[in-house]
Amino acid sequence: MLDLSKLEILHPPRPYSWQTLFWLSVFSGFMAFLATGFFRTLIAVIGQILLIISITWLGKINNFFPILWITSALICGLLYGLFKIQPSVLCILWLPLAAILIILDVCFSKDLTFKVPNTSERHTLLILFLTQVLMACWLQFTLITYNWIQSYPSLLTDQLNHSNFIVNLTPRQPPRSVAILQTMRQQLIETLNNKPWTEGESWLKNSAFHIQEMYETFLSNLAEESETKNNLQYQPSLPENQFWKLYFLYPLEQNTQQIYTFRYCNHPQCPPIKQWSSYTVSSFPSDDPWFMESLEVLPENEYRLLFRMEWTGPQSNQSQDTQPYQSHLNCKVFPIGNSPQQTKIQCPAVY
Amino acid sequence: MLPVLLPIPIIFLQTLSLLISVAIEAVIFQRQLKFSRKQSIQFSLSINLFSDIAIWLFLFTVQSIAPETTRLHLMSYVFFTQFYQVERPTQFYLISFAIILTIFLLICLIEYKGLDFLQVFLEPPYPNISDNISEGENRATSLVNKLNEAIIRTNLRQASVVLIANLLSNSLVVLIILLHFLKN
Repeated sequence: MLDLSKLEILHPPRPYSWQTLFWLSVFSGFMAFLATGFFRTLIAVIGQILLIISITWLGKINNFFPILWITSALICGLLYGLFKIQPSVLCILWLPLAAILIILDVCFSKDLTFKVPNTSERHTLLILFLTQVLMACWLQFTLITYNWIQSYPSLLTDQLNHSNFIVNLTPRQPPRSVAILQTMRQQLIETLNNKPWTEGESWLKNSAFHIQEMYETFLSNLAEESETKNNLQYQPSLPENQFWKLYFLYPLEQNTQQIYTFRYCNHPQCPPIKQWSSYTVSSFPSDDPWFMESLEVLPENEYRLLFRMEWTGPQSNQSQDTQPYQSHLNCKVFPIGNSPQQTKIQCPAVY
Repeated sequence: MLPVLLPIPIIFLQTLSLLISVAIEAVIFQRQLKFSRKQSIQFSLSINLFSDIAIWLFLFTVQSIAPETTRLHLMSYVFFTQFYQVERPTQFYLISFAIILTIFLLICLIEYKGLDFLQVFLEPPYPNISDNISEGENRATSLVNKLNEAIIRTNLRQASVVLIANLLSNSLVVLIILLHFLKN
């Protein structure tokens, strides 16, 4: 039930009071609702200004200490609505603006005459202003780290708890390589499954070329491939793409492997991605379980496509051992059925 | 989902270092420059805030205009407390040392000049000259005079006091940070 006696507080005791301004702002809100076009905006803005003044007045007469910070936040909100100033700029403006309001509050007496505060008071006001600016710097620093994480989301996979600057409260995220390899897996199955074996085999002979083409497309428009577009993991070309290295291990013949590495780079000085390089087997550490798998002797006509993605960007010391960035995809390709034979591809989930 | 990164450690560290340097510098100012107790704390607090803000602004500028590799170094340091792929370590650490030294000297300069500006601007206004000159003109000329006075003023004794105060307080802060690193 609405207690009407509570509303008594909104009854203006005299014309010169915050209640009058409050009702005026309600009235302008109503008028803005009726009006259209430019006048609607104008009346709405006037209403909001009146509301801000009324709230500040209410806070001042009750000696509510953080009122001017609230006023500053409301002014920032109004600026955002009016001029569409970026929220990050307004975030930084908020605290210094509050300090300026406090200084103005001290410098003007009740009947709006300017008075210079004494030396000690001026000094205190200056220190207050400086602390607010310092806090704005901290806010800006937070925003910068957010921007970095937006550009390099895979860093959230790593251990950020040894940092002297920030604490990370985000739950551990899988690296973006998992998303990329998952999309790749889906694409591989779509391309190869149930294809006539002759076509499938010729695709496999050229697989280094095809895989490289696929990889390039994924990294540049991963967002279109995926349904969850809002997820950071599935963002298209991010600056961090240059740090992902794809190892593609493809057995040419029985027991002869060739490793290709692809590295995405959209910087003008980079070589075009088409110039992939091939590595001989000896350059790969032989105690690697993923690599050992490729050395298994396969039945005739069976091919294996092995993928590994590695991170070459900034990482913590601990991650050198635990390798949280790495992810793998192992696929088997073989023919089934009798003439005409069909291609069958089996890919376990990305790990 | 948005990541949640909070800069709590750096806020804590900065507040701590601010408290330490304000305490030390206030004592030195009080002894050497004959300020009152309240005045010396106010002065040291405001010039330390000045210099902290100046360092932040410097870092923000570097962050926005520096080439990608420098930004990666910064990012790697902020997130993992180590630099990203330092190619020539000796050269790199020499340059870092030079930058830190420059920042330190800049802090001293900012604090020294900041103290001058504060002293000139916070002085009580002269009460007896506003009789025959109009109010606005008086204020404008006195502002220009004050600015001139603050810029020209060179008090060698004050400069050396600021330098020594900074050396003491900053080395203590560095020592505490080093201890913190050794503990890890």
